[in-house]
Amino acid sequence: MISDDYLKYPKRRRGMDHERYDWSILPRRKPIKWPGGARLALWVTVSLQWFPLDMKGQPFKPLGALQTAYPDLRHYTLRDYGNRVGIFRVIKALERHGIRASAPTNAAVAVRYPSLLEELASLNWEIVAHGLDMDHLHYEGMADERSLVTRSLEKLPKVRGWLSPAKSESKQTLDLLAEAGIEYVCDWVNDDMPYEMRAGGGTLWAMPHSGDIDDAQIMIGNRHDEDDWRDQMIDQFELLYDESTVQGGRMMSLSLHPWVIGQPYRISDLDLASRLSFFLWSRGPDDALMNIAVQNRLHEPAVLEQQVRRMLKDPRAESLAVNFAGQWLNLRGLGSSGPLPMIYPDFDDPLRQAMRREVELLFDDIVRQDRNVVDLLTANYTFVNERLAKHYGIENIYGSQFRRVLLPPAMEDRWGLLGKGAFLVTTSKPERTSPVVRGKWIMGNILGMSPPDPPPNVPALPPRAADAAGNAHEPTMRQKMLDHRVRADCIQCHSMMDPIGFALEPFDGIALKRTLGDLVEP
Amino acid sequence: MKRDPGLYDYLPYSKRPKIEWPDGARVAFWVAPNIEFYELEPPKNPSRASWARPVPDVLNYAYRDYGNRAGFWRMAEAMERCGVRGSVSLNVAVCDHHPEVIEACVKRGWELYSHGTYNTRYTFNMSEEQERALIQDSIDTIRKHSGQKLDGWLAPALTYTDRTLDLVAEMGLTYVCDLFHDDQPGPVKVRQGRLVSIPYSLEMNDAISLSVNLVTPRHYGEIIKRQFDRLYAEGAESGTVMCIPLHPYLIGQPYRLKAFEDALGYITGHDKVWLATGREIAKHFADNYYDAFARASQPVHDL
Repeated sequence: MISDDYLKYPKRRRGMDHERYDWSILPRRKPIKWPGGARLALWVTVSLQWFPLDMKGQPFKPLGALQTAYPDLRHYTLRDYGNRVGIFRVIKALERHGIRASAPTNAAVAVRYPSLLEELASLNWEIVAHGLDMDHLHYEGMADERSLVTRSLEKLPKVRGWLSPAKSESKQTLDLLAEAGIEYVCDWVNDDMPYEMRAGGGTLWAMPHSGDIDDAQIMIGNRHDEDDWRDQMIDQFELLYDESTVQGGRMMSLSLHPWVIGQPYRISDLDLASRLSFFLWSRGPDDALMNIAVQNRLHEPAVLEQQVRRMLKDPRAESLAVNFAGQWLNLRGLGSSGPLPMIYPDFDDPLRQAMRREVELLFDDIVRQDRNVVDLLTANYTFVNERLAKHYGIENIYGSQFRRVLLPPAMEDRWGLLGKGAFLVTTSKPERTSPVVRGKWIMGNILGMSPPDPPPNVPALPPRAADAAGNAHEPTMRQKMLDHRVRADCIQCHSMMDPIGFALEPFDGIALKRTLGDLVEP
Repeated sequence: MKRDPGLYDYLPYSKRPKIEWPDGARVAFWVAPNIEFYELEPPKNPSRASWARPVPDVLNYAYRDYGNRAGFWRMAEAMERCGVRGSVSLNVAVCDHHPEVIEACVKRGWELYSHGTYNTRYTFNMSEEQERALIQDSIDTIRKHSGQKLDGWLAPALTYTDRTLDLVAEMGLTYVCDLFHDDQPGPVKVRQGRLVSIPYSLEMNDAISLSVNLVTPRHYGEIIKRQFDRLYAEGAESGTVMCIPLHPYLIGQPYRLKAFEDALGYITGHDKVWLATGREIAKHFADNYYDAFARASQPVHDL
């Protein structure tokens, strides 16, 4: 039996059950703006860790701990590999991509391998304190935590951030860190953005340092392979990047451990060859590409063309359609655009997915068949399933599988990209079409002549107004637009954008053909 | 201790009355987000430790907290885009800690059912009186914060006494999610009242798939589709139930959401799928099939 106190809840109240930080809802915060209008701040951390040979593992064994009876040379050296070899592969890979990192560093690493610290300083990396070593965890009830903090920090002068080994803290760790002058900690995994914590009578910033998608957790803890790890990174990036369009700047933490990612067979995921293969395959390089890259011949134009042609023939190149076309044609925008259900009750998620798939398949087909790029605008065939066929008014297509169908001359306005749902929906507003957005998109993405953003202080479209007889008429879109662009600084661009967009007005905001009445001038 | 929980008789899948769901649906599909609060320093229960690491286990506490701060909101929007209502397996203390989360559920027309008070307060070792107080707390809190009558129970952190389901039925609840023995609803043998067990599925549960079986997020999406395909096919003969139990702190992680949403859209893209809540499934079964299932059941004799 248990005491009745077990059913008493002294901290059952609004907010958290402790005082460290306040309850806060991520999507309801004021949006963040990053420098230069960036949508995503990428924060790469490379943890430099030392697991001593006489490891006790108290009060628990962190991920990567030594495992066998003493002396566990096997795991000791496998971890130390990261400091001797792996880190230098990581440095090179990040350098190629112009990325500087923060390095959470055990004090033991700083003392044992000072030349490594000098090298990182010369690269302008940030050093973050990472405790004494991987066998000195911070935990409630430990002896003399204050002196452990002091010993760890005195070997790493001028650090501003702290990552506890294994993200383990006692109740006072944060207070001791704040008192020691630390400004941010990386232990709490409850947010995707930095937030303020109370500590040591002041504040500390909690930084969103990833816990469950770092390389060690995914590849060692979860035993997923390096391709799976990269897929998860890509998915993480894409969602955060998309989310930034509506919720403001986002942060992505990429947490690496040289003893994991620094192995030769894994590092390719951060390498030059993989940049090319990401683009075409969204996978790591195969042996043939890797061999040529190792021979340093990938920059020769003939070799490069030969490799690109070879990779395009591979079924994996379909990800070119999914990822490249997804970005270029804004197919990803289809995920976030939302025709209003009140206005467009026919629009649902299966239709949204079918529209995206249609254009992916069309793009993929044109690349693989090596067709003229202009076919993207003129192709008289497409790919539909039952849901999309019904939407377009194509008969006798059943089931969820996509198949190639010819579009007869009677459906000429559906030919090519500009008759496709994916394009017509992503360039519409939730409640109506926008000839301006469609025209601007075509100028920017097809004609290669992006018009500038509108000048500030442009008034909204005029509302409906009553005429002399007192009858209120909604002016047509064309009339509203004409009224709107009388300003000289507007008309330059609009005189090009608008006619392009108006040509597509026969399609409504979910790519259905309109009845004539919608378009007639009053 | 009993050798058999004594909660149901044997009823082979091949010899059952046919279930027909509303509008000829083959599958009754429901999604059950577990909206939870784990205490940083919970009191001790002698039968189970609360945290894997010494208290304060800031890593695991913060991971759960992510669900309410960030993950829930993403998950709820993905469900909304697919037109799926949730049946919330709720630690009712969330009503007090994070009323915004509850408002967001109620506003979307979601059902709230109970998953205890906190996920760090276990039913193990409770007296009957204590357990009644626990259930009454849920009934009162859910009514106060949503106006809903409490119908369903999923024991907090899956912890029980021998009388848990008897008490739940006596106190007026209509269904439980704690039995994993079936892909169709069934009667539960309780002291008094009519209690329906509805399939909740640990196999589709993101916590089991992602954190225990360690499947990749994209593969999780795949197995959801495979599970659905099979239950949809079998549902042509007699209606089946498919449940996806979720945890916002897991499925609401950016790198996991899309594969899940794709799978959800795959399911809702089919016709003959009844997008239901737990309460609606239990009621349809209780009104139409409970007695026939009870009659068809075969008593079980121990060795």
